[in-house]
Order: sequence, then C-alpha cells, then structure tokens
Amino acid sequence: MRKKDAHKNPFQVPSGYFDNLEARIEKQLNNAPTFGKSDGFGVPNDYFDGLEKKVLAQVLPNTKNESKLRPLYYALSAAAALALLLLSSQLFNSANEIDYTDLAFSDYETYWNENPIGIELDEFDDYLTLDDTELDALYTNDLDHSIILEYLEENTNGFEVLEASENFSEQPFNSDHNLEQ
Amino acid sequence: MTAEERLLDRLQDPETLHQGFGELVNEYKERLYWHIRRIVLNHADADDVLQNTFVKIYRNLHGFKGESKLYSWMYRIATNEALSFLKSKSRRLGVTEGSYTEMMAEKLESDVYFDGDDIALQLQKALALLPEKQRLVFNMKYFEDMKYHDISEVLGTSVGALKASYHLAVKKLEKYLTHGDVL
Repeated sequence: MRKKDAHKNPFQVPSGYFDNLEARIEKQLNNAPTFGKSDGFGVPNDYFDGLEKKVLAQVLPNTKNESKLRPLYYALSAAAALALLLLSSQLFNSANEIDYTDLAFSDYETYWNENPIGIELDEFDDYLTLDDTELDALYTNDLDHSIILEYLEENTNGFEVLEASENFSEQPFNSDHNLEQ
Repeated sequence: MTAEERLLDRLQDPETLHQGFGELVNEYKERLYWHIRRIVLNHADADDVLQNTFVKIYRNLHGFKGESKLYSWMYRIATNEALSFLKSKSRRLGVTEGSYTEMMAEKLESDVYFDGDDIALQLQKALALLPEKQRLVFNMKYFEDMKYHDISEVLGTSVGALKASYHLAVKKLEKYLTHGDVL
C-alpha cells in the first residue's frame, strides 16, 4: 500500500486546467511583447494575393510591364509637367510684360491694316514729332483766345475773311465745351 | 521525385513553363519577399526588387543547371538584386551604402508598414550598422532559420566563415543593445 502511494503523483492541478491550456497559451502568445524573431515589418493587405499576377504580367509576352514602365512613366510625366510649367510661365510673362523692341515693323504694319483708325501709317510720324510746347498747348484746359488766333493765323489761309470779334468772346475758351453746341 | 524536381521539369518544358512559373512564384514569393525586405527595409523597394528578382529568375531558368537547390539559386538572385538596389540607390543619393542603410533604418519609426516595438526598432538600427556580410548572415540565420549549409550555397562562403560572421554579428548587436556602443 505504501509502495503504491509512493508512486502516486503528489502534485495537483486545478480542475479543468488541461482542458483550456491550449487556448490560454495561444492567448499569451498573442499578447506577448514583440521580441525575438518578430522583426516588425508588415505589408499592405492582400499584397501577396496579387503578386503572382503582377509578376506574370512582367514575364509573359504581350503583357504590360508595369515595374519596368513605371520609371519611364514618371520621367515622361515629369518632363511634360516641366514643359507645361515653362510654357505657361512664358505666356504669363509675355502677357504682362510686352517688350515692344521685339516687334518688327511688319508687325505694326499688319496690325495697322487690320485695325484702321482713319489715319495712314505714313502720316503717323507727323503726330509723333510734336515738341513739348505744342503738347502743352494741346493739353491745357483754359486756352487764351490769343493763342487760338495765333494758331489760326499760322495754319489757316482764309483767316483774314473772318471777323474775330464775331467768333470769339472775351471769355477764355474752355476745351471741355461741347463744340457742337 | 521531389516536389522541387517536378516543378523544375515543368519549368523546363515550354508547354508547361508558364503554369510552372506561376506555381514557383506562389511557392516562393513570401520567403523571397521577407529575405529582400530585411535587406532593403522598405516595402515599396522590396516590392520592386522582388518583381525584378522573379523576372531575372524567369529569364535565366534555362541557365539553371540544378547543381544547387532551386531555392538556394533563387535566394542568390534575390540577394544580388537587393544589394545591387542598395548600391544604385546610395550612388544616386551620393552617400555610402552603409549611410543609406542607416538612413532607411532611421525612417522605420515613421514607416506605416513597420509596427515593431522599441526593441525591434533598435535591433534594425543596430543591424544597419553591421558590415553587409554580417548583416546578411544574421538575418538568414536568426530571422529566416536557414541552415549554415544553405546560407553557404546562397552567399558562396564556407560554413566556418559564416559561423564566425554570425558569432561576431551577435556579439556586436548585444553590445550595441545593452550598452548603446557604436559597432
């Protein structure tokens, strides 16, 4: 009897211990801190599922070579974007800062012919040769009638037939008056 | 006839080549991916290198003489592709390969596809400081559980030299992780 009892395992375990041991170990493993063989690297969801298709597409004939084309696609996109940027900046600059020295005379001529304003291009020089005194007289609002008389005397042939007193009052001429009134 | 031999038969027959190659990709994609990923560290780069690896494997299948195991041959191609990638990337950036790897390890902290804890992060930073050969041997032995004989086939180094490299790598990593010493 004693001999039989000596062979009896003296250690006890809580009831049901072995029943859920596997589940508890699994739970412990899941909660264990990341250490040892886990290197922490991950991949996007389903990455490996689509990999075979991607690889086969690269090696099978007449299929799209995504990986090889990708750098080329990026390079072409970058080149196109750069070209657009340069073009738009050129257009933008030229719209804001027109350099008239770049225009040839033929360009003026073409513009003039397409947009007539009743003056021949040859006559235009006459307007550009006015000196400062003449320009001042043109832009002065209150003209003394003596200036006008002087002008008419110099530039009008039939002035002597006019009676100055009938045409001009003593009041200074105001260029803002409507000439038709 | 082993499964590898059967697969090789299909790969060498033009009529079953494509189907066989699909099987090969499925069989080895994950193992090769993780091997490459531990070298280049970043998922997008690993994806590029993995695809190039399979393309090279496909184009060179006719040159595979069966003198080594198929997976050792593929591992060798993957290793070469990953190391070439690091070389060209670092050359483009005008830095040494070592500096480039350290830079990539520093970026892991903000990598959405890296969820290791602080110790895993420190281990990767320490690994980036190791010489290339020691880093490769450590990864293949420690993380990939490869036998020295198989590593020897991939890297073309004697088993004795590999054991020495692994031992040195472990010592340096321990020193770095416990004392923070520069390797």
